[in-house]
Amino acid sequence: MASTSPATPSSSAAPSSSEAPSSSEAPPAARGRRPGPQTAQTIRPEPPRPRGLVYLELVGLAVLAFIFFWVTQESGDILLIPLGFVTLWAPLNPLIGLLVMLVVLALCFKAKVGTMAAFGTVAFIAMSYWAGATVRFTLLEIPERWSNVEPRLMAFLDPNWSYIWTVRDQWLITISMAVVATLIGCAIGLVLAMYASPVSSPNKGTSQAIKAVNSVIRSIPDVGWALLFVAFIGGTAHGLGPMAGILALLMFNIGIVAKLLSETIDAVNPGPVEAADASGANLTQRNRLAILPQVLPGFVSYGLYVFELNIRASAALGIVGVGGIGSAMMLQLNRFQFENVAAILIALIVVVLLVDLFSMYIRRKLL
Amino acid sequence: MSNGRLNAGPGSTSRPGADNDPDAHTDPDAHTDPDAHTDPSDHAADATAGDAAAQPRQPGQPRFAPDALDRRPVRPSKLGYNIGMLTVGIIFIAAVYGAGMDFGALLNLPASIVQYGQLMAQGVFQVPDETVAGYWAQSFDAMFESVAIAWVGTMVGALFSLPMGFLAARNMSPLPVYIVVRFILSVIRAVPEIIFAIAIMLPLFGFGSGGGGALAGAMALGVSSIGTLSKLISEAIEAVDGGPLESSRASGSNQLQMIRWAVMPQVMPEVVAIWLYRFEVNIRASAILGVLGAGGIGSLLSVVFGAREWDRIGIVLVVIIVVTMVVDQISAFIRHRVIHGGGARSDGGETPEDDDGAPDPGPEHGPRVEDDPAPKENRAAAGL
Repeated sequence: MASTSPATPSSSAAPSSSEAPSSSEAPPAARGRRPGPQTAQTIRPEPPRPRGLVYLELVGLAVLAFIFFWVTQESGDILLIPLGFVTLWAPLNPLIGLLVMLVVLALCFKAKVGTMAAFGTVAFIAMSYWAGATVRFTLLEIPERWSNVEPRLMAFLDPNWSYIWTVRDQWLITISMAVVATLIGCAIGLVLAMYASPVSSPNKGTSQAIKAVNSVIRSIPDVGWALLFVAFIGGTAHGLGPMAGILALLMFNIGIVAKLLSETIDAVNPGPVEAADASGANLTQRNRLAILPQVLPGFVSYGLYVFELNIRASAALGIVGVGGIGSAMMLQLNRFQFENVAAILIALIVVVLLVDLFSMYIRRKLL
Repeated sequence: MSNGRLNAGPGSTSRPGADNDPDAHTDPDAHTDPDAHTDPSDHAADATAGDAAAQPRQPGQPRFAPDALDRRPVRPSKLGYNIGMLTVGIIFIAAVYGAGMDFGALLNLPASIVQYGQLMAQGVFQVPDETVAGYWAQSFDAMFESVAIAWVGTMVGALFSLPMGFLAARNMSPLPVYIVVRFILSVIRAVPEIIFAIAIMLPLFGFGSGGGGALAGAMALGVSSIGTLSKLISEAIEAVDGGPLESSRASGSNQLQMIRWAVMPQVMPEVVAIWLYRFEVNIRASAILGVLGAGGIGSLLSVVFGAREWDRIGIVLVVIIVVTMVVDQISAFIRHRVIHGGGARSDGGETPEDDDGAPDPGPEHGPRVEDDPAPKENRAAAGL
């Protein structure tokens, strides 16, 4: 802004006015200081130099991260730095991390990147280093361990097709679980979303409380719910697998539907709501007649999305004993019969694709 | 003539579309309309319609409501809706039978929730002695390992998803490439991540928390992230504003330069938001891989549930909830900042944040209440 303002020849031809702000056009808080004489044609807006102090703090942050990496590192690679009179030593990997961070900071300073963006970059590098160190990221072992993968991949190329039909009961259970959990979960999710959104809930306290409950429900992963309900009421071993699975999927669905739908309700057109209020509708009538018709397409679409998620999840949840196709797969996996596992997995892919197509069809038909 | 048409009234309104025909409303009695009378064929058609009212109508001849504006609107048929609801109900009941649920188990559920919930609460709220503190530390370690798995998985997915997203965007790549890449992506999306884990990653990298299982889980999450991420990114790319593209082409840039200077600045905030969203999803997904032996919180969960140590289960659940909610909050903050721009100046000048591709505040920035404009004005005036 300040750099474009000296458009008159008198101020542009003169040397930079920042030292002596005599010209009236230049505002006193001129940011872009450019030394040397410059004509109006060559002056381009340029970001200001970020403050060095903040960058020094970022360097301090990088050093702190280095110390943290050093303390928590597990590999003992040591880098020795002979300086003649004394030999310095430093842990290899954290040192590399520190160097990367410092180089990036220097580049950011050179490119006049803002402090917040520079902080974000450093935090990103530190986070990636930490995550990589925690999972011991390496791709060097792939050639040695490739022999473990080969038999399984061979099995996948040659699945036991006759096995697919023998687990049809398990498929029925899986799909039934998904249907029941989707329908009940969407119904409960609708009610919760109505109470969670400030637009449709009776008061602010209710909406905050429901939102808190919902985020607790959502933060426990589906397999956590499955393990909980298997422990509560018994799993496949007691013949209660489907019940536990449905309850687990139910909680999973409630979290998703309530979250997505309450955000949709937040964004509804306020006109019908105001009209309902003005004509004296109570809360239920208002939600039923002014809000529900607006969010119904979204609701149906979320329901179909959740149904698709349920098919995948209930296949996976069989691993922890909730019945369905996953338990059959786990059984074959424990027997090392990869041909049968491959058959189930291929059937799973086909079923997921079919459900995807089906829900796409319904969505296009309804919306 | 109008009398005759009146007699034809009641049955005719049920004909769908009869009222909607705009030509039908050339009323012959409206003498102010010269065209209706100068056109002989039109007049003749009207006359026959009026005369033939009492007789059976010829096919193809419109019959009209006498005064359609006075009639109450006909209720739309609810047949389709009812049939749909009935179908859903039948499917629901069939599914209940098909799943073979035992409703007797539901009767015991409240009692066992209370009983085990008390045990868990005792575990959480007990005064931490050395072993209990160890449980807490172990749970946090496992949860952080899950976060690391999700982060590495997201990084792997992000690395591949950006080029794949460009290849899968219709306005960026030729048709054959587009079709092939789209097909690959939809196959990847159809394969659940446990399949990648079981079939390839776990045998490739090893099982267990320490023995490479975490890396296997991260790679499985990464590969399965590519599908969703690329699809979302390609949709973002397809929705870019065409103006910068045209101007970069007009000034003679090649494809790469156009992507760098016209497309990337537009889509980058959205892409970062998509990556962060996937990171949250991956944290939850890593739990199920952990049960398979990929380390992280899932492994710990299956261990403590296998041993049925309810106090430890309570501690693990609390740790999961706390860490997940904190990560969600941070990620939501970053997403909001990336999309709406943090220190967006109101004077429209060059700001430091503009350099990393943070967008202009955009039209949706205006009505937001939480972005108080006053401090920004102050900061802009102070020249920060």
